[in-house]
Parts: sequence; structure tokens; C-alpha cells
Amino acid sequence: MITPTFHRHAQALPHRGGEARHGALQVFVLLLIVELLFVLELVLIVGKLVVLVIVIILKIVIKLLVDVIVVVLAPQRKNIRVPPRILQADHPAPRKKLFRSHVSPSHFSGPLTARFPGALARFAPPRGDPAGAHRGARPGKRGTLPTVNRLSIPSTPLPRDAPNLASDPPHRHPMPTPADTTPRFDPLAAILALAFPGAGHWFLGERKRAMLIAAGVLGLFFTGLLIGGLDVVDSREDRWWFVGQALVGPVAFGTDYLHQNRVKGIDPQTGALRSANPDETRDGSGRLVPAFGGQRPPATKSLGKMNELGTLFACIAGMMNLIVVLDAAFPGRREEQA
Amino acid sequence: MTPLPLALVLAWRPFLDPIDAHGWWFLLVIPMSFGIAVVYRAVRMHTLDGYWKRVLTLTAQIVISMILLGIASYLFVQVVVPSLAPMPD
Repeated sequence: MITPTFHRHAQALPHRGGEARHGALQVFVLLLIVELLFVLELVLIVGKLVVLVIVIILKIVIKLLVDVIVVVLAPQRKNIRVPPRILQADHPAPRKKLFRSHVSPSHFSGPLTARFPGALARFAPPRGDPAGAHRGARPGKRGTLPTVNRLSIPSTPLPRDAPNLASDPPHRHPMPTPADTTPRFDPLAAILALAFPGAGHWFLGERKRAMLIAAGVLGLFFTGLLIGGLDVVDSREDRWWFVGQALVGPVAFGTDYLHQNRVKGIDPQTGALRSANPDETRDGSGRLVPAFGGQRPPATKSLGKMNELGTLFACIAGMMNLIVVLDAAFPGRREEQA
Repeated sequence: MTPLPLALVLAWRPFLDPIDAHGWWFLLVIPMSFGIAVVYRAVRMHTLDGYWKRVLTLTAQIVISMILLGIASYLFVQVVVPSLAPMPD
């Protein structure tokens, strides 16, 4: 919009003095700087996006590999049932609740004992009883945890609905852990969010948020279709716009499939796939033929601002869904309430 | 803005034909800003208390910002550029 104005001024230069030429040069330099800044910003944004996508893919692959390795190499951990509160750093469990009949002595070495080093102190032999007369405990080396006789551990049955932290997915037992301070990564939620807007947050248990997201993203997308018709989603003619629209997920691909295979027709002269003209229609074989007797084209090709705005709406829907996917992949990064 | 003929309105097929908004296309910035605000606030808010109020606030902020940007662009093209390089008489 600015460039034609500049050309009009530039055309006037031969008829003007050096002052006008100097002014035009200033405008030209100014516009050049602004355009260079825009290009630089665009390159930076695209570069950051590419790096982000690569990092996400690498994290997904690494997490899946780690999960596979953990499942394959450590199958014996499957049946550990640990009350969730003993894993909470802010609310350490009472000592008694650490020891239950289902916790075997082999579990006393590892992260739990490292986190609660004093928890086993009550089972240490009392002074003056080096032979281990204290029931249930034998003396160990100084500075190490004692070996505990399983039979001596006071047994407290777990409630029936106690969560199995080893086998249940972590999202079913959200609890305030130190992980809340560092963003966790949930690839399945990200994939679901890509599959359908809001599905990732629904999977994470945030159903109201998921419905709002779905309403917003799909509302933008279908408002774009309403404004410009099916023509605004076109992977052949508007390839780069479709890259943004495709982030809505299978909905965008389905719309494009409908457009390419049910609305466009084959040109009888060139054999190319194109939209029907206003005086053409589409026959059963998908060829474009002249319209007779009130026949209409399968869809009207949108032009001008309607096409621009419809395409923009659908593309913005895809961009917003990208934000949603990232939020589902890294839940917990939200602003505090004002 | 001329009223559309009834036959043309009835012939309009939603999602297949574009709407005829060439006279008021700029008003479409409002639903666009509203859609952006709905998704952005749903993602960014810690809890959804006061959600719709903040959505409407963000919608108004986007619309007003775009109006101001439009005014700034208009002033740049119509005032700043002609003052730097005057138009021929």
C-alpha cells in the first residue's frame, strides 16, 4: 500500500528540484529499514518455530524411549503401591504410614529413604541392645539404614480406592509436587490437541477449558468458511495459507478433501482440477460442464476481501490451536490471576 | 450499502457461497478478535474465574489497537510521506 504512493512521488522527481529528490530518498531509506526489520523479525519467528518443533519432537522421542526402557528393564516395579502423600515433599508422611505390609524391605533403599532419612530411625536398635533384641530390626553399619524384618512392620491396610502410582497415568493423580515448578511434558495430550481442538485439555481433566478452546478454535475456523465458503481452504492454490490452517487438525484436512474432491471439477480442455465458473456445473464423473436450466456450480469461488478474510479466519484458528497444543504439551505455564 | 435482492439471499448456500459483506467487511474484525480472545484467555488463565469479563476486555483491546494502527498507517501515508516528498501540483 505504501509502495505505490512512493512510486507516484518518485515519478514526480524529474519535475521537482533536489529538495523533493532528497525527501524521496529519505522516505525510501525509511521504508527500506522498516521492510528489513519486518523481514528480520519474520526470519527470527520462523527460526524459533522450527527450533521449537524440533525440540518437541526430540522430547517426544526421548520420553517414549525412556518409557520403553523403564518398562522393559524394570518390570518388578509394576506392583508397588505407595500412598501418594509420602511422595509429597511439602507434606511428609508420618513415620508409621511409611511402613505397610505391602512395602517390602527391598524398597527401603532408593528415593523414598533418601527423601525421608529419619523415617526408619524408630526401627534402629535401642542403645544397649546391640544384639538386636529390639524386635524387627538388626543393627546395621553406622550411617546406613538398618535392615528391617518385614514381619515386624506394623501393618495398615490401604483403602480400596488408593491410587496405584506405578500403573496409573500421572494425570489421574494431580498433586502438588516440585514438578509444578518445572513444566512437565505430556506428548499424548499434545497429540490429542492436534487431533481435535480441546481434546488435549479434556484428556488432562480440564473439561471446561477444553470446551472453551474447542468453541474458540472451531468457531474461528467455521466462521472463516461461512465468510468465504469452502474456497478459503485450498491446499493446492493457497498452499502457504493451508500450512497455517492445517494446524486445526483433521478438520482442516477433511475440509480440504471435500473441496478438492467434491467441489472442484476437471477442466474439459486442460484436464486440470479447478473451481467451477458461475456458468458451469459438475457432472457425476467430476468434469465441469456448462450449466443449464437453473443449475449452479457446486460452490462459488470467493474473491476479494471475502476470500482474504475467510482465509485469515481459518489460518488464525490454526495459529491459536498451535498455542493450545503447546499448552497441552507443557501444562502448568499459566499466568496468575490479577 | 444496497439491500440484497430476496432471490439472491435465498440462493445463498452457507459454507459454499461467500457472504456479501463487501460493504461492512471491517466489522468482521470484531468476531475475529472475540475468537482470538476466547482461545487465548482459555489457555492463559490460571483459573477460569472472571473469564468472560477478561475475554471482552481483550476483545476490546485488540479492536482498539487495530483501529489505532489503522490511524497511524493512514497518517504515515497521507501526512508524513507527502511532507517528506511533496506531491506534484
